[in-house]
Amino acid sequence: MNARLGTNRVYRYARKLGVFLICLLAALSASGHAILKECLPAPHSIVSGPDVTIRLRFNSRIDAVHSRLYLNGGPHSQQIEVAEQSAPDTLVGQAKAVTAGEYRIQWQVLAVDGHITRGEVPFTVR
Amino acid sequence: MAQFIDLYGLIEVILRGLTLVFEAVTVGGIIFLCFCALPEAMDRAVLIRCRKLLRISAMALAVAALGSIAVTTVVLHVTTDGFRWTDVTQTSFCRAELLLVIAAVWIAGAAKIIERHWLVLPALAIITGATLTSHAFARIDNRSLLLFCTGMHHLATAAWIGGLPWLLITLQRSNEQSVWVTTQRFSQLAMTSVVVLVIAGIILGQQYVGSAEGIYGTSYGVMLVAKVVLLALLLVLGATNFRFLRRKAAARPILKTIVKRTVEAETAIGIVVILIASSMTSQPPAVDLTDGRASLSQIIDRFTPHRPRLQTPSVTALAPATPLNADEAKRFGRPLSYALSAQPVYNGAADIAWSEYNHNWAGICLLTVGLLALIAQMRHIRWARHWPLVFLVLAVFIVIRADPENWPLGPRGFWESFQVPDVMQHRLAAALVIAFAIFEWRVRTRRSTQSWHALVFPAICMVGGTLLFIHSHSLGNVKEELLAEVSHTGIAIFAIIAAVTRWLQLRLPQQPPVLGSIWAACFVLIGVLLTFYREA
Repeated sequence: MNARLGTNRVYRYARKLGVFLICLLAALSASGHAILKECLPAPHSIVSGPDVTIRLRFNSRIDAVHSRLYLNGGPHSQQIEVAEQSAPDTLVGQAKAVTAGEYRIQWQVLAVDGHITRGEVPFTVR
Repeated sequence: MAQFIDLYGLIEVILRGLTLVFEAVTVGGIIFLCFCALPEAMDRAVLIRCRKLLRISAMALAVAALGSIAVTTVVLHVTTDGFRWTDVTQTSFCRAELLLVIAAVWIAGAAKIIERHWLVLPALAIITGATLTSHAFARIDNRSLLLFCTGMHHLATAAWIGGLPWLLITLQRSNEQSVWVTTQRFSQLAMTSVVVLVIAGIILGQQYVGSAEGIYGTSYGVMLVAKVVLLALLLVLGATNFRFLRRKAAARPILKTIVKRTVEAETAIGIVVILIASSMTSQPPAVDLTDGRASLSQIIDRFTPHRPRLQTPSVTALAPATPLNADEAKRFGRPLSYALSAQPVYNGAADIAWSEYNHNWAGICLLTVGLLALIAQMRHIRWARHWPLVFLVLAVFIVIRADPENWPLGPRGFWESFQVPDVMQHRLAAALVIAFAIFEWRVRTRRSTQSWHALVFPAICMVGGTLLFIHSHSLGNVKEELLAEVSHTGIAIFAIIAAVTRWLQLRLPQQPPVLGSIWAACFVLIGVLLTFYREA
């Protein structure tokens, strides 16, 4: 068996196998890695309006300039301006004129290592 | 575009895997050419092949890094209000990737014309760029230590694993004296690299995993264990070569062939290890995941053998099919999962029983395959050589039962079902199993006239094992999914061992009978894992 398996042929097949492997990888899924460590308002908490301070702390350094916070729910949705970072792992913003109702903070962050992660935090304003 | 954004995480892992592989080969090549090869004794054909490989790997690295920038830029442009295309140049990851691209293009362009030692500079730039896109750069605590250890980890990986393809080229074409000196030098370099790799790995593991619970209780930890097991396998193969080299065996043709074949196997395992590492970079480190971990007692309980489930629940007892779009919602009579009126559908007892039945019967198939393969190696029992045909039964079983929401058992049609990732994966798995069965049966029964047909066995085992490793990272670290993942990681490790032993059995000039017993035993062990697989 060995004598018939020329090395060049084997490497040719190995190259084809490599291409095949890459194609197969396309059937798989993946996840990002920024994790929300602390959140204000806390998930499912009830807070007072009309102004709500939003503070999200992650497990990694975040590029605040290219990260976004949105407030969805209630009568309207708004993009929340991200304040200058006081800590490299934290995003802070202020939602204004928020009426009573159920809301979700939708966040998308760019970690400094290039990973984009998204998530949301539900809470209620009374 | 929405589908592209959904695929972003997946594309990111693929590009990261390619970047790491080509980074290792490119930097490994420069280290090999500078510190191991003997330029004055180098055969011209070897030199040409080395230059060609260096150009190809450096260009592939540049393309993968540019692809990574492009994909992230598109996603940021589409999802981030006010993000202009040029804004990406202000991000730290883009600058790090560009450093990598420039260095790779420099290597590809200058490989032929400048002194090899000058290439060390762009090689270090590549390591720096890769380190600045790693977990270490984004960490809050002990960042300098983590960056240093990550850089050393990359460098050692390149010197050892990335150097293997270059060693193969040298082994194939060089004269005996050159081979002997080069392999001796590479052997010393590899040993130093292993020490650096292990020390840096221990420090990184301590920082990223943090505790024993992090090892067995999170996806990150389980994949780290898989990496360590494969590293141990690499060390066994490396030690085998080292033993030959100490005896100056490389100068003898037959032992030189043995070393070559072992290096081939090492290269394949090394690439799998790098791909595992790439999928780990898309995971949060275990130390950050304090919720949803599996406890040791839960893992022990899950792996304590129970009677296999050999009776299937009725398909009508399963949770109803989840519609993917409005048309399906109408046809299935169910709301879309993201509609306000939709209630989440959780796996009930019948769904768990269905899945356990599938896994347990698949295990019995594998157990049968392994035992028949062992029996077939006793030459007087000829009928057992038809063992590959059992895989055809397994393939039919997968197609029919793996996805009861889809054709032939569920309401979703055959072609429509390909848009479901799980179904796609299961059908690919079935196709691989069928290919394995047909090719290996023809080899066993001597119907095959093509020698490469025998290589389908190790190739499919290697691909299947790698897919299981990569697949096992993304399930959100939910405890139940982690428990399933532990057994799948075990299966992947046995698949890789089976692939390597079969490869060596086919490629070595003398075929030690023990190799045949090892891969057959791997099938038996995979069968045992699946036969007693449980989800509750």
